Amino acid sequence: MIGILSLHIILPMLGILALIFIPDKEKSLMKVVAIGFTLATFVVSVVMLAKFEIGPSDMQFVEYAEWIPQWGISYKIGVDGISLFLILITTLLTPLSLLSSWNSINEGHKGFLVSMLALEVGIIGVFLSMDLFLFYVFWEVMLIPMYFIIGIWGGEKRIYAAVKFIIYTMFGSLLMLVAIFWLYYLSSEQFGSPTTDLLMLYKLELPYNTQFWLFLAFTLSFAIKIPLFPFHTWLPDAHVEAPTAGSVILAGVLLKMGGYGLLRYCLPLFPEATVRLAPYLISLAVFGGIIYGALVAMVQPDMKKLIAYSSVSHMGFVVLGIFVLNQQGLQGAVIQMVNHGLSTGALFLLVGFIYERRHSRLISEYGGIAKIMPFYAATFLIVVLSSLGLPGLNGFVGEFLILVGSFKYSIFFTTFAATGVILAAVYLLWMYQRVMFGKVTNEKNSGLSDLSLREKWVIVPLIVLIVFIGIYPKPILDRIEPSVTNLLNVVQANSNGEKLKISPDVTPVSPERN
Amino acid sequence: MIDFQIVPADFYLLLPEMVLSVGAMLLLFLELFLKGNKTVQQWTAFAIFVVALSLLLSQESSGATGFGMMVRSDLFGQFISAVVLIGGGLTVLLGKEYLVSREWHRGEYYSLLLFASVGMLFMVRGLDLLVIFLGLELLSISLYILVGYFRDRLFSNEAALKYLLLGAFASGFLLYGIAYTYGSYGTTNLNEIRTMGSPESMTFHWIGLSLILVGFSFKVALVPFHMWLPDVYQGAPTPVTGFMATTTKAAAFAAMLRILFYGFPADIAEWMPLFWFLSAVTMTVGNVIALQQSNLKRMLAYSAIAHAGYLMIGVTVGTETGAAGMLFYLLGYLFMNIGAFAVVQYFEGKDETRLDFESYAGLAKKHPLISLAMTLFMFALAGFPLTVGFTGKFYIFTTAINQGFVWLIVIAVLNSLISVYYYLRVVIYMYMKPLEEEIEFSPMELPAKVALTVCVYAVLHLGVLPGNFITLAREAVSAIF
Repeated sequence: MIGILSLHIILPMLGILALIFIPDKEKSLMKVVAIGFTLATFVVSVVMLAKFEIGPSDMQFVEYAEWIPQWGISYKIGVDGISLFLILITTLLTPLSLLSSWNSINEGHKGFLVSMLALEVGIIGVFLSMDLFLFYVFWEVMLIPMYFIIGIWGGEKRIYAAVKFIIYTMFGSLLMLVAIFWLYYLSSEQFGSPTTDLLMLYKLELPYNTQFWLFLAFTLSFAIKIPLFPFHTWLPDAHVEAPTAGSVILAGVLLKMGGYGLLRYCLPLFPEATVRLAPYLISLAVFGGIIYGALVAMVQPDMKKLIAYSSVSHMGFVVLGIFVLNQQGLQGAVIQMVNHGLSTGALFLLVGFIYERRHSRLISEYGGIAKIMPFYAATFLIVVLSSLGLPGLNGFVGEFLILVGSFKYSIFFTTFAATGVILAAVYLLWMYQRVMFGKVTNEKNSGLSDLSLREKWVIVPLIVLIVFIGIYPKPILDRIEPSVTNLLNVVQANSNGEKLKISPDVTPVSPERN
Repeated sequence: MIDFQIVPADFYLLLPEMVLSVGAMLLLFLELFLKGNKTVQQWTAFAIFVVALSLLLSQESSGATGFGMMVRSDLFGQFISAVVLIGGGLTVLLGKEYLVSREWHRGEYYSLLLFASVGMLFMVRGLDLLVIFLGLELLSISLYILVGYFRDRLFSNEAALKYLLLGAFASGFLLYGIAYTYGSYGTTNLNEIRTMGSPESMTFHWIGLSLILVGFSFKVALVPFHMWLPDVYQGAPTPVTGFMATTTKAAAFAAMLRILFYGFPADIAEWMPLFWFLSAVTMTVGNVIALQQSNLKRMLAYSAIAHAGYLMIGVTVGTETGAAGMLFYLLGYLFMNIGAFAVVQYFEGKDETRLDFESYAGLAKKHPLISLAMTLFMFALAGFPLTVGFTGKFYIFTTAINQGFVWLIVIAVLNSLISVYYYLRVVIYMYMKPLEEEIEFSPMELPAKVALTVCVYAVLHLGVLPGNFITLAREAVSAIF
């Protein structure tokens, strides 16, 4: 029997298979098929959400099959509150980004669609894996379609960006691979036979010295993905050169794999190292992520680059939330990942829309667009406000929770982190002002058409979710909470006397507004 | 001393070798009578490989020895012999099209491949240093001729001469080493050396073993004994290069494993630091120089050196699982490398002018399937998951970590990172650069297509479902421990 989680992996694969047999000429058919299969995957994940039980903290819908028994490797997948919404956002953004690039891919349709579906398989696989080997397989295989998406359908410097992307991420993941080997060896040492089953590995007893090195290797890999200063330099290049659909997935989901990795692997596997090294990562997140990212974003002349650096800043919040190691922080980090996926995905889509019309992303090329494209300007405003964390929209929920959590940890860091919110308002609103308001200074812009029906279909679902989560985040927080509590208990129990600053038993706040 | 008696059962042991040898001579005769019919020659040669392989696999592998302990039929020998014979068969399939288009199709090509395979079978199944040496010589002489096969081409001549000179040099080292070993043990039989344990002269033992190792280091091209390899690989006909890079490496590593692990089990731990160093230097030098190459054959040549370095990790570890990892990797390497060379030979063109990266620009649009296959081989060589490149490395690297060689593995994975850059350059040119010039390639012939399909399938199968082959490799190495 194929379980509901395996369906998430199999459906896009079937889509790839179907695409292979469609003749090259049938372009519309190919697009319809690809979007159909991704939509079906989305429906499946909505069903999963509906069936997901609130309350239990452990993995649900677990599926297990032997894979390479000689090495103790199995196909084991499951979902919990931490991965649930990340999977949903993946299955949501993939069809939307395909729909958005309906007209923008001029050659090699089949290859592009196949790459996008393969990418979806890889990302979902990463979020589902409960076996370290399986996780690594998805983690690496996912690079290949992204590499092609940037390298074939990207902008002018696409090859440079694609190579930089793959070399950077491989550097991290290969060192993580050594750490995986090490864990694998330790498992055979402590359990008698080697295993890569994650839940078994959680039970390993590791001395601090070992934890330290393993933690560093894993964290480096995730920090490159997130990306955290100083490992972020691949991101602006990759974002700017990637086609819109690629950017959306890259910012919307791919970066989350880093944050997810920290939660799923670093914290429970190396609790003592996590607690001891948390201050360093927090300061890196605050100064290297939140503030540095925001400051650099402020001076970007290119919209895509600006959003790319804003991702560095926003993902800094995620890392901060994770390493303050308390209920609010972690919950905030998870929901911030979802929110960032929604709002940054939407931002890239919106920039993509105007890029298709004018073939420029430079802020200085625009001005007064609000008069020409009123619907576009309105949606853009909502997304910008969500991204900068306006209360009532989704961005606020995550950042508020993270700041509350961080406040309990340290007022010093919270003060600086909070300036990140202000800086976000500065760079985003300033960009909005320069693009949308004022007189139409550039003649070329005067004839632009407002969003088409297809484009509205792409952006409206995201706007709805942005508003919904902003007003009523409780259903999401309820599902995240048990897993987060459990995670904190695991870290607390195994941190070997290293006290967490805040006990995890604090009742969570649910910032219900209005 | 061994009581040297020959019983009929001994010949049964050597059936595969005999089939290959007789077949090789048969092909020479066929060349006389069947001058025009190339297809018959090709399929005959292929059939000989298949028959030899099936005979080999049907043999008992209980460790029976024959000809007065000269050869041993065990799973270890069977495993690597199978690798050699599969490689030979694939090379036969790939060879005809290549040679016909250059008007160089001769029956000798197949005969020499068969003779080389016989040599390799003796290398991996021999239990006596002299048999191993004879096998190596038979292999080398066949290869000298195969490398210089295009006798009217300067490159080919240069390659053959270089290979001959350095190869003879290496053989000299090996033979000298065997002589010293004989001097210290009074025998060249590995079984006796093993049971004897301590030599009569420790000095001779050390000199002998080091000279033997130098000889094999030449053959598998460990740095600093690798200088001959790039020129030879570049100058040889491409199918021959693929054959050399995979089967010869397998046979030489297997002989080395048998000599070291079976004959001198006590020495492995003592030699470990040296092996460590050789392994680290070999992979690093191979990968770093490969970065600079603009010629695809040379790039693959340096990558072959790098892979010899990865394989050396198995020797360094010195355990059963380490050796098993090597066997598994050698099996996988066979398919990914022969596959890569098959694509290279297809695209290089009659006059071999299209060997640089630039001439691969935009090929994916015109040849989507072959480009896809090449992409797979490149990702496999770079060690991406779901290909045998990853499972193979996983096997060797985890074993090394188990024995505490963490830094060696860190060096190895960083080397893999370097290799990603140059392997993916091929992919970049094929997929991301515009087509430079319109060139019509004649469609690939059926045998070559079959060979390529086999390689693609094997790379994926061993990458996704390696289970049975892991068990097999494990059982195989228990024969030499």
